[in-house]
Amino acid sequence: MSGRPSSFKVLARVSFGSLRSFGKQIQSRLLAARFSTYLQGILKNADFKDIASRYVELVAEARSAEEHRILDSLISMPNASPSFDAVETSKLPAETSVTVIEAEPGAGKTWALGFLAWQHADKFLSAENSVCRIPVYLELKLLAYQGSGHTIATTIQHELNSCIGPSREIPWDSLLLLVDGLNEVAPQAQANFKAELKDLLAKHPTLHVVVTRAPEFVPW
Amino acid sequence: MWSLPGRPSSFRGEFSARIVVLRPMTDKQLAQLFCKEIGDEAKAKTTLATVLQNESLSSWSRRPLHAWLIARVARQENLSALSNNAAAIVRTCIRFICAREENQASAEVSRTGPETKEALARTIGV
Repeated sequence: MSGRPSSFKVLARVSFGSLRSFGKQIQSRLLAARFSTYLQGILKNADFKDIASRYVELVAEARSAEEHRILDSLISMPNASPSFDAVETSKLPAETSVTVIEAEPGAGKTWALGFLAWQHADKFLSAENSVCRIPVYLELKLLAYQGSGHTIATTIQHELNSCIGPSREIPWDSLLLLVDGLNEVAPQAQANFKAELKDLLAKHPTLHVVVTRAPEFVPW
Repeated sequence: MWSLPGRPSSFRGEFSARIVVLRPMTDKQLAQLFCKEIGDEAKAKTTLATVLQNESLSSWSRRPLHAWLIARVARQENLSALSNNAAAIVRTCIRFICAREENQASAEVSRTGPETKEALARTIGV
């Protein structure tokens, strides 16, 4: 019997697991209540609604070794093989902290990002999926135009303004940051964005981000 | 889980990010898109058949924007516009793209705050 955990230990482990899961659910519901106005706003937004009604699930795959060789000739190909062949774009944020969707113009980057915003708002509100997060959609070119005083953090504060109260505390660990058009801003603005994102990820490792960009080399 | 370091101008050395590319749409996805855009299942099926008969049109249609343009042509013009000459398709598509860009630009301006509008005005020298 010594090799088997006692009933008490099993029970304690199960109870602890259930408690943790219950705690997460409570936290998620409290956040949904606090951010309901903001999330409803996304669901009522004409652009997101339109995307959600017309969206066709797109499929993403890891960049091939050949593409990597052509596009990243200065750095060596990692030895590890891809752990996935293909994944539906709506499931991308759940898989990793930072995902970069790279595709040519018209390939559906903005479409996929818009759908992610709508889907996460919908599921977060309906408690359908505990993996869902509070989506914040940013068009980088609009952020870049606002000048150096505007950062990702201030823009998110502005977006969530009505829900974060006087403390201005952003729930980073429950956010899904959706950033569209990295290639559409000047190199300096790209560098600023990446530097700030690096800091944010260091402070909030569970923050999830999806960035879209067109490849620098577009095969015509 | 596979993480790729980005290239020098991207995410290299800054933090790990998984870089993915979007696959071209399959026949099934095209059928779904046509169905949603055209709103008439029979017409969507005929549109798909017309597209698949034409090798270059079929290859071109695999991006959502292109598929959307084809659906618009099929919906607003008619199917013969798709099977006619390529120049007519291109002309119709360019017309749709121009209208779409115009709508997007005005929507973009309406989404920006007063500070951004001021910054934009300064940038273009208004």
